[in-house]
Amino acid sequence: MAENKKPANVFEDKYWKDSILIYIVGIVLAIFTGIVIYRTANPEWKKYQKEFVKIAEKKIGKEKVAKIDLGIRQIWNKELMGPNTADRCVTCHLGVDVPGLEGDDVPVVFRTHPNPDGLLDKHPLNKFGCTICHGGLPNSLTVKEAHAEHGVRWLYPTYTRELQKKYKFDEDRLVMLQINCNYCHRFDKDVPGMDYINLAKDLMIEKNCQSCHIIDGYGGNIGPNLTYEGDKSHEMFDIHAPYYVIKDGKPVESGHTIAEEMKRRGLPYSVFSWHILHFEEPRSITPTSTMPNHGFSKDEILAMTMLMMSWRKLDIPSHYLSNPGKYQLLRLMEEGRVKPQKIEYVSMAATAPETTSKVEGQAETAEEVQVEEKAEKSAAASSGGVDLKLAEKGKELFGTRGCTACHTVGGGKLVGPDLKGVTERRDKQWIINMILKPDSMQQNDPIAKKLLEEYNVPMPNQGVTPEEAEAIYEYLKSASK
Amino acid sequence: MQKLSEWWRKLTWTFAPSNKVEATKAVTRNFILHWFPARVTFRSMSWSYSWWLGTVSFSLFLILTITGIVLMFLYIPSVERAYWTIKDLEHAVSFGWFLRNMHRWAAHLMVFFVTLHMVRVFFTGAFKNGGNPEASRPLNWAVGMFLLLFTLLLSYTGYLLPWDQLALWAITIGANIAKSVPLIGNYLHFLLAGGSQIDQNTLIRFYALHVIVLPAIVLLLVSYHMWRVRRDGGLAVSEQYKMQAKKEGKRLVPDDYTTFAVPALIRRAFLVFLISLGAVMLLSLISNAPLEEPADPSWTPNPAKAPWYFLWLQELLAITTIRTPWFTINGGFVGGIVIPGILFLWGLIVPFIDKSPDEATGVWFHPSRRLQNWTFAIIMLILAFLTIFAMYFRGPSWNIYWPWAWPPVPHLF
Amino acid sequence: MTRRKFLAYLGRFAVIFALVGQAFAMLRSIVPNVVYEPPKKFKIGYPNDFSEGITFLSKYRLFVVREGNTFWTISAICTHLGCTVNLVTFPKPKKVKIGKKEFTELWEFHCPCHGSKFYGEGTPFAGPAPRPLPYYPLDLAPDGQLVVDTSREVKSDFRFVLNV
Repeated sequence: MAENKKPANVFEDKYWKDSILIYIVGIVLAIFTGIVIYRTANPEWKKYQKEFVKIAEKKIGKEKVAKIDLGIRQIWNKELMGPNTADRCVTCHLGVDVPGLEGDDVPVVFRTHPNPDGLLDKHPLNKFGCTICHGGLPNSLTVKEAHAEHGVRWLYPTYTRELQKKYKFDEDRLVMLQINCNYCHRFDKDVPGMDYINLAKDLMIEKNCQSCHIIDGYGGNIGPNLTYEGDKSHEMFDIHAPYYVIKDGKPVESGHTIAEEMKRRGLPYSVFSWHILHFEEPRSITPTSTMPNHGFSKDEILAMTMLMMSWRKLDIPSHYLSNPGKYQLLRLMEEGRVKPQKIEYVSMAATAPETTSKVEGQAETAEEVQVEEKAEKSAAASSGGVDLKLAEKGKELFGTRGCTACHTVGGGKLVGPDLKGVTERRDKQWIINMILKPDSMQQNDPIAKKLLEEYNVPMPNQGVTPEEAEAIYEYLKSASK
Repeated sequence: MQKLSEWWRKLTWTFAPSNKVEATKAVTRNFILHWFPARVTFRSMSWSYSWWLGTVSFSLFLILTITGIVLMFLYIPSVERAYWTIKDLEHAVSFGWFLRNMHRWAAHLMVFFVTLHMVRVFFTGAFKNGGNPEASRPLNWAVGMFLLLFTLLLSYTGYLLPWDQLALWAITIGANIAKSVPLIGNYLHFLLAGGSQIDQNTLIRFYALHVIVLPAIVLLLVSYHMWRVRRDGGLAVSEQYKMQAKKEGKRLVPDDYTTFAVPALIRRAFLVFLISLGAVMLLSLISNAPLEEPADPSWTPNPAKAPWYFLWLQELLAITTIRTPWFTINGGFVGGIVIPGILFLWGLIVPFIDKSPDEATGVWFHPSRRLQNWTFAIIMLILAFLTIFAMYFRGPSWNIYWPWAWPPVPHLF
Repeated sequence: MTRRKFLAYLGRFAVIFALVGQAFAMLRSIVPNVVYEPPKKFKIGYPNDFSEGITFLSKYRLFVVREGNTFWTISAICTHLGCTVNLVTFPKPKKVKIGKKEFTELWEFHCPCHGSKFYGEGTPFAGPAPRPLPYYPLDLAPDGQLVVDTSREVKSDFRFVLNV
């Protein structure tokens, strides 16, 4: 019928160009899909595993390396970590449980874990995993996330040498992870391998921090409760407050903030840095602080800061804890079911139990270790009119009743005056009264009032008994010689 | 070979009709294609008219549904496990990172494009009937407003699920906004949270809402929304043909102003779907979905910011607390319920109060609608400004800082 | 082949590849790469924790048999469809014939789900169970505990003898 018209049935495809566009977009999508598949097939860890195989085969031979399982490796311990968490560090750290890969010729990441005898046998990998000691983000499989480097949203990074360098630790070995040791070893002291924490605990006992702070559920209330200081959120630390410097014994605004001071020293903006500055000079952070400057050395400051960060309330099953009874006691004190009392630390020095099994031991229940308190030998000879034995007792009380928090004897002024020779300066009854009821004395006694004005810090009533006061007086008398 | 190609033709002719008869039959003989009309007007096919934003929105919804279903096999809605299942997605599940990124990006884009779609429909007056006595497009606009609301709710219930700090505090604040409603506030909060505290009860409630309740509602509404377009005689711009024909006294011949939906419409819709997919894939390849620290009620991140599409709301919450000597009204109520409520209600009735002539139907920035368009544009710009301001100029403690001068917040180590 | 046709074929292939690739990604992601499960090889206690005869370890769904210093383990998981079988002990030893050999058994295993019955040595003799209850290898860990490896099966004549 039609001449050169097309048949009426055919329709014109006006939008044929859409087909071309579909093809072009399709090719782009195919490329994207290819990239997605490539990325999934080549995760970061595969690279490290290939490298490990190469290095390890050279060092210990193909046969031994063939026995090592490759792929995603994990340590899963439901009671310690939770039902859906696992430590996947061993995916890259393939050499940790392979003997023979020690030494500087093996990159640190692939090396055999140090201290298999003495440390690893007491803390077997399959019972502890890795992050409970080393920190880091479990489940992750990239270096950046697993180590929770800066920028990753995880509060507890791996304690690497880089991190230690930032805080100017003078150490080649890993020491910051002693913070985590203290999660389970909180009530131990002299623990082998925890030199920094041990030092900090000794200092804590020597300086009697508990006279002003509640620590382990017990202590004074002049300073804040430090029992779970490590759980204090970083949001609670205002690093934009002014930083003070001490001029002529008085704190004076430096003109810059705590954050700026951290920056000046090259310290990270962190709670860890805050504690460093605070231990160095408490009044630089809080100008009205009555906390004395104990003149800690750099290492002592680092140690004490580590101790602060280690005090956390964690849900660690009791058979992992050393001295679980003491943790229980702390909980009972918190719940008010037991009255606050001082929890003594138990020394692990030279009484560490021997283990006969070296591998895959079940976590051992901690044993209470009795330690003899060594009595100090008093200085020789007689001295006129001083009851040496009483003075001996008094010296001990001078420490345990909190006097050393503010006073030295012959060590210079601290918060309160140096008490060397005080028994020559003041009469006995005055001294006894000051010990027994300093609050009343500072209100009514003219000498005490003047001293309060001069030192500006009220002397707290430590609840000393009359017998104890006598002993302390005797000690002060003996020390005056 | 002959048999094979015959068989292939039998299977696929509805997608690629070879003549007018087949093209007309295609939409009645194919289940998937019954969705579409037989013919579609040239103007509604135009890229520059609608930008195909509705199709983009639906494509994104499709991507979200598919990735969402897969994610349901991999995520556990338990407060002890949720965060870690997300972490596993990022590292230990094959394509897990891709799945998560796709889902997250599609969600953000969907909120953006649904909003843009609404803006387009407003500026083109496409909620008007254009003189068609059988159409009721204002109703479809109202359905669309609800779709926008449910899209936002889907997003909101979704980002609680990772149970990280953002999730916990966003929900805490949201539930407290509910609490600020007078009289029934506490009870609303109790129902929303499934208890008096944000905990496992809340998580499972939001999970149920997110994976089945809200998607089902959205699916139903979207179906109705799209059916209404057909029932109202196509996109609003199609009314222009009838009006023009009436003016010129001409009769409308289908071939002059329409073409067959198959293949024109479905092919272009497929193209739009592929482009949407491509955009989501590209974003998934270059940017990872974030995750904050595990939920911890003992500290709130500083600053704690809502996702971008709620930043305008967060800014309002912060600045609308009314203090008079006699009473104080919580900004949570004013900025969280009153203002958004007024905006939503106004949005619903807008087509019913628009008195512009039929000629303005389906026309971009028709001069007779200058007032409406400016009003709408200003409101959108204010919301956009609030969003940008809250994003870049609000720092720690919601104080105002220059974007480059936010003070550092300390870490633990 | 014209350029147009080439583009058409390439384009169609690309679209199909992209969409199939997506589908593959979705499906592959639900195949687990890691699982949170206890290990297949585990310790069951010291040899002297076990009395003479048969002991049922409900946690591991395992029977441990001791004859003097000889130990072996049989799985308690029915080979039909996985229920835990029950131990049925006899007041008097029973003589049974399995194949050509004669055994004297003191107990049997009966499955409560579909009525399968197994001789004490593991062979099924009644019910739908298709094969005998598997044996797992036993060994001694360095700390002296018995270790079972349920990732591999051994023959029913497997015995672990303690060298005292």
